[in-house]
Amino acid sequence: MGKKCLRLAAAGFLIGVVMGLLIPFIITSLESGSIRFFSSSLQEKTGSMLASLLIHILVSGLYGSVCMAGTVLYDVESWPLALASGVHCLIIVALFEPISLCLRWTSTLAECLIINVIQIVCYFVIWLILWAYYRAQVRTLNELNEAAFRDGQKPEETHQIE
Amino acid sequence: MSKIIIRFEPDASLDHLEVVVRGPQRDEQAEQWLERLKSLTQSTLTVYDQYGNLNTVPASEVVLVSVEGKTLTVRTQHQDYYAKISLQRLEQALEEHSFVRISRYELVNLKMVQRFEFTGSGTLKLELRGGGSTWASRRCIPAIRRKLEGRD
Repeated sequence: MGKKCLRLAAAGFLIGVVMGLLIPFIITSLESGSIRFFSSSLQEKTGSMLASLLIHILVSGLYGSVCMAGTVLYDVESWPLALASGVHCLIIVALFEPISLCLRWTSTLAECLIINVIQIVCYFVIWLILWAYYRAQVRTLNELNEAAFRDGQKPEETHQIE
Repeated sequence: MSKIIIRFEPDASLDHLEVVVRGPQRDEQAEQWLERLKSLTQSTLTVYDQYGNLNTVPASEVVLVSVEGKTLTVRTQHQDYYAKISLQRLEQALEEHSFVRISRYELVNLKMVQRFEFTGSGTLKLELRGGGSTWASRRCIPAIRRKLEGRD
């Protein structure tokens, strides 16, 4: 699980960097027509474009790492889906607040909380889809199990002596 | 003991071996032969009971095999036994039968599973014949399905 966690963290870092650059790029180009890869208020704070870019890349990459590495929680066999989803959601939501304020993705706490609520709703929908998927799989298992029983494969051995 | 004739009759219409015990009636001697033949068709596990006595248990009677620490417990419908073998080796030995891995710690005999249930919290619960239940990892669902479909 440790190796898988590291692999996911590395992949998550790349995804985090790409998404962290892409989202401000889309927003700023739609809003003002200019192209920016990070918030202008972050540059005002650091006073340097390069420092802002590096901070943005590093922090958004780390956020991606934690999000992706956190998916190993779903591999904890003794954890129900609700617990794994809940803990993963909590990590993502709890981390978003300081990161978004640090990188100036949001300017106020209210904005941040709105995004948190959206994240939670998205997470609930994902959990619901996963739950329905597994439930359908288990229904198939029961059908196969009942069919095997009807066909007389159960509970007797195939090499039956009458 | 009365006279016993053992012979092989080729039959091209069959795709399996069919052993028929014929006689005037199903007496004690016939029952003994049936039991002997039955034991030849069954895989058995060498296990220990709680007092350390050696026993053999037909694989078909095993409900669940679980490991906790270094203790491997073989559960039948009647009692628990213990074995000095790794779960992985036992899994290899039983893979031709209806056993499937349901978590890192357990093997279950699918013929002893009454039904599967996906609980509200998202746990795959297995209700076992003769009472009792256990849980399975969600990752094992494809393996269980393949086994039930007879593809494994």
